[in-house]
Amino acid sequence: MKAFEPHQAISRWFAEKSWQPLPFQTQVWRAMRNAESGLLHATTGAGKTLAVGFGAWQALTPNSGLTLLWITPMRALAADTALALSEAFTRLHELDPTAPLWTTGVRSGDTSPKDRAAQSRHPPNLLITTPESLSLMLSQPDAHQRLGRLGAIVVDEWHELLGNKRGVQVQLALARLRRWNPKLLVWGMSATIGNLAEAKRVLLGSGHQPGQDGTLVSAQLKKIIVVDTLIPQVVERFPWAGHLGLSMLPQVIAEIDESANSLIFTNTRAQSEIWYHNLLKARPDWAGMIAVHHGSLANESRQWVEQGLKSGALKAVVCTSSLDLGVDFLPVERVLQIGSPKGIARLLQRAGRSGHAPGRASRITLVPSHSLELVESAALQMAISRGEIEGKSSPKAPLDVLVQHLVTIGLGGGFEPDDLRAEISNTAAYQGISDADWQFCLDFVRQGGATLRAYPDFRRCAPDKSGIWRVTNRALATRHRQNIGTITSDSSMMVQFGPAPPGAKLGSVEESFIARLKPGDRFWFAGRLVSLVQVRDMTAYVRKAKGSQASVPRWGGGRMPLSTTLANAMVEQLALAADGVYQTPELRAAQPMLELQLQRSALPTPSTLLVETLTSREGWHVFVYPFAGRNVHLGLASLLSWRAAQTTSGTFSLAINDYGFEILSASERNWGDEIRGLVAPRSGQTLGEQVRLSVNATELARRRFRDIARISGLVQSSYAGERKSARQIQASSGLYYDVFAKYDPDNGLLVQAQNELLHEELDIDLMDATLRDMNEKHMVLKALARCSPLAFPLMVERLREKLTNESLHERVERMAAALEKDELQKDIPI
Amino acid sequence: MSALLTSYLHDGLVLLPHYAIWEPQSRTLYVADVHLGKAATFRALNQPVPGGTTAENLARLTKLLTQLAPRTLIFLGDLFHAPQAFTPDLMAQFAAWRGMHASVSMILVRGNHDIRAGKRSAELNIEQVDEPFYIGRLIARHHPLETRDHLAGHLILAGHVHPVIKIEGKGRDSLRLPCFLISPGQIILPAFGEFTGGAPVKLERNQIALGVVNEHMVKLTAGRV
Repeated sequence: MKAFEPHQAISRWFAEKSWQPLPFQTQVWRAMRNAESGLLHATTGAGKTLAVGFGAWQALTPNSGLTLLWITPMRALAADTALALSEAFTRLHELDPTAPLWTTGVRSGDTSPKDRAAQSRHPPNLLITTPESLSLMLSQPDAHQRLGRLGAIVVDEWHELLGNKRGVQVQLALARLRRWNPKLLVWGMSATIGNLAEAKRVLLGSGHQPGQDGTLVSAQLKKIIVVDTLIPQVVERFPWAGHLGLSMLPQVIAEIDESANSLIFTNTRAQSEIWYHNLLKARPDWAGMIAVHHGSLANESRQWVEQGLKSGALKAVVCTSSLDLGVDFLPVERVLQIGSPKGIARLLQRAGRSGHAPGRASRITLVPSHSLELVESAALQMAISRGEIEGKSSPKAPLDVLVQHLVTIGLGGGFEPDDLRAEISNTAAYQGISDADWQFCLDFVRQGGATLRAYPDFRRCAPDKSGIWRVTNRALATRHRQNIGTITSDSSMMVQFGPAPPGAKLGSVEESFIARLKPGDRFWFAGRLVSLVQVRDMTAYVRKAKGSQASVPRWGGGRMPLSTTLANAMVEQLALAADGVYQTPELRAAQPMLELQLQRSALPTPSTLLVETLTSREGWHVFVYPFAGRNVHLGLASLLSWRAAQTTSGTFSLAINDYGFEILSASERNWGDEIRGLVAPRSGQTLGEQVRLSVNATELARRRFRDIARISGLVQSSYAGERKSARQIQASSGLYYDVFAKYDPDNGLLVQAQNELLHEELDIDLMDATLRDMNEKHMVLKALARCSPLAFPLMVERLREKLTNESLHERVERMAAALEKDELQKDIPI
Repeated sequence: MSALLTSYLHDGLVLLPHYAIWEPQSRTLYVADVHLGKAATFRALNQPVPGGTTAENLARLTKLLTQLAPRTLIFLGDLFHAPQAFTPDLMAQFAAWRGMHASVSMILVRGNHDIRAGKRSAELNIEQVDEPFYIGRLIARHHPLETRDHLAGHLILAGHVHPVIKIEGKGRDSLRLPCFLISPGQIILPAFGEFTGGAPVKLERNQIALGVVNEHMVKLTAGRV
């Protein structure tokens, strides 16, 4: 093969900086020049933006319109990428005036209507945007005209999108753009995940010619990653449960003090606020030198923090996953992770925030928030040293996203059903979509359901005289465009000082959080203690509050499951402890807790299944520890309690974590006698059937329906200043669920909720394997006299599922009887 | 003895687990927040909600009217959801239903939704009045009043809130039940209509909630929930 010669302007650009193009950059340039699509595997800071950006610059001639579209999952990233590329493109033109000058622009939720209009009139050659804005562009009537001549599309941080519905949204958009221009270059960039080949296959779809399945280029930078743990100084008093990790505050302060600048990652936004506040309280001299960064903050404050990080003005930033990605070329000396990172890929990603310069080691320090996280730290290090890392897969045929897409395309020029079906069948997500599913989506947007009778007068999208399906209602068009996207956070409310006089906007927060507050309640937001004054027009007006205590400690915050890879590594660590082998500093620090576990009960090992029983004033508990991750545990807890309810009906409260699960019965049970039979395999029904029956007795499918209702456009988000008339068609997803279940039980979205629950949330295949595994293991049954360290976090878990096969009537009767009894006892004079 | 009630007497009124209040002396039945045509409104505005809720709501009203044979039926506001609710289909269903109960006089105390939906008194054969509507010592309203505004010697019946109460039991069990909310001088009724949703209420010391479950009620006070 002939050596690839980069464009002379690019050679000069590198020479000017005394850099050499890296081998992977040349590889990408060559592939793009050869009109090949592909996936670039590189970490942040490795020079991936230049690889793909310069690749496109060399491969394409900019026309009068949009030439290169750059998709990024985060708005914060868009501005950085735009800056880096527009500087470079301008310089290339200066270095070689005969080369074209590429213009750049950014379009995201933050772009003003004025800038948008200007972009429509004079499109830049390079536009950097988000998946949601891309869908929005596809919903414009002249989408084909504007995007049809696109030469290349780049999807940054593809690993963040691949496994979720946002990624499906991108897959659908790519299928459309590729159909408009079959020669479209598609390039993705991904951090390290376990299945890069699949990531590439999903990105490129299946519509292309044979032999054109794209190139996988790996930056192959041998990055040294150091993972260590901040060991608590007083291990005896280190907590068994919890998530804040504040007992580690003094040690974290010492670490920050020693470094020029640090990032402190937390898992929830509330946690980041609390840590920021406590750091400042302990070190008032750090005022102005440290900051907090999370997705709820107003755009200006986020930008200020990012700028401060880049310029080196900030010593430390407490952040959430909002700083997981991008912000390229950002030198951070120290990265700390408070609490479990939940997975190896995420840990590696966060570690990559330090030691950006090629050749320098990346280091991340884990700060455990409770004793089991010490064991987790040891497990993480073991898994990393073995090179184990999780993979990600595309969701399978989510109908809610497709329903949204049909309306989007109905707005963006319309569609002919067979034609569109062929187009979406080229995506990995909808490859081989069944006739029934496709027909449901068409019926749903046209007439609500399979039978016209069930939904009189309803219409969203319908064929015109020439058979092209279009959306004609203008109000619906506006509503659809406002709600486009698959990020299903609660509707959010503006947080602002005021109301009289109206002050600075601080950011936004979930409506459900504000709904729980009374005027006067205090909470931490944007690093300040504020109190709620009043709520009006989707805005929460607050004022500065005095004092140092928030009356409402927590808000927001998702829960990520611990990956199976990591959970397996943990059992191995516990087995070491069971044998009395405490070699790592992490295990030694967890020793008091692990020994107490041995004393009160036993330790789980790869060959045993630990089961504990306990009776308390709350009821009759059983704890099981399969270490299979919280999703599988949720399925197992539902299944076993449902089996238990078949012998004696009852109501059960289920608590799960990544290590095991608890079933709590409201009425008396002898779990010790029962548990073996419950775990044992059943003949007759398949596991799938049993699990389906068991989850019907929980609220799980109903909960799962929440996101589906939002994405398919049933539930509308609320907006500040929105007209009253929009409110009269607001109903909760729960109401929709009930009314569908009663009057249209075969509705495809209800079925989707069940399927997603079984296959994605509960992971039925893994559950099957786990159940088999549990039966093969030797069961160690312990009746607890006192709560064990492993049982404790489950007992105090407040987010619980419920499973019942008692009627509402029976349950209320039981509760009411208990209330009467309490009342009588209270009335007895002592 | 069951802890569940099939009816509850309060100040000469009978609170029924059918989301209604019965005043035996004048043979008057009170219901609140039926929200007829809510599903139709959604459909008219391109939101797919299956049909059937109106028929169900009217059937439940018919059952009450047949069993109690009231002289007067008073709707405490929000009988109709929105202007879009008056579809030909719904009007036909409603007219047929109204014809079945021609001998019952019906009064609508207009609520916020009715005002937006528009007056159709003649068509519907329902007298429409503004709140407050006085019937002896009773005051029929749509919007409830703050406790301190209550008038001595009067009892307010109101809707609008769609109150829902949470009840908790052993084993961390809990349920949300639509409820009557009884305060000094005022009773707020649960929403009668299907597909209406509810707002959770917190009980004050001087309030009683009657949670409704399967044609039964459970009595709850501040210390007990």
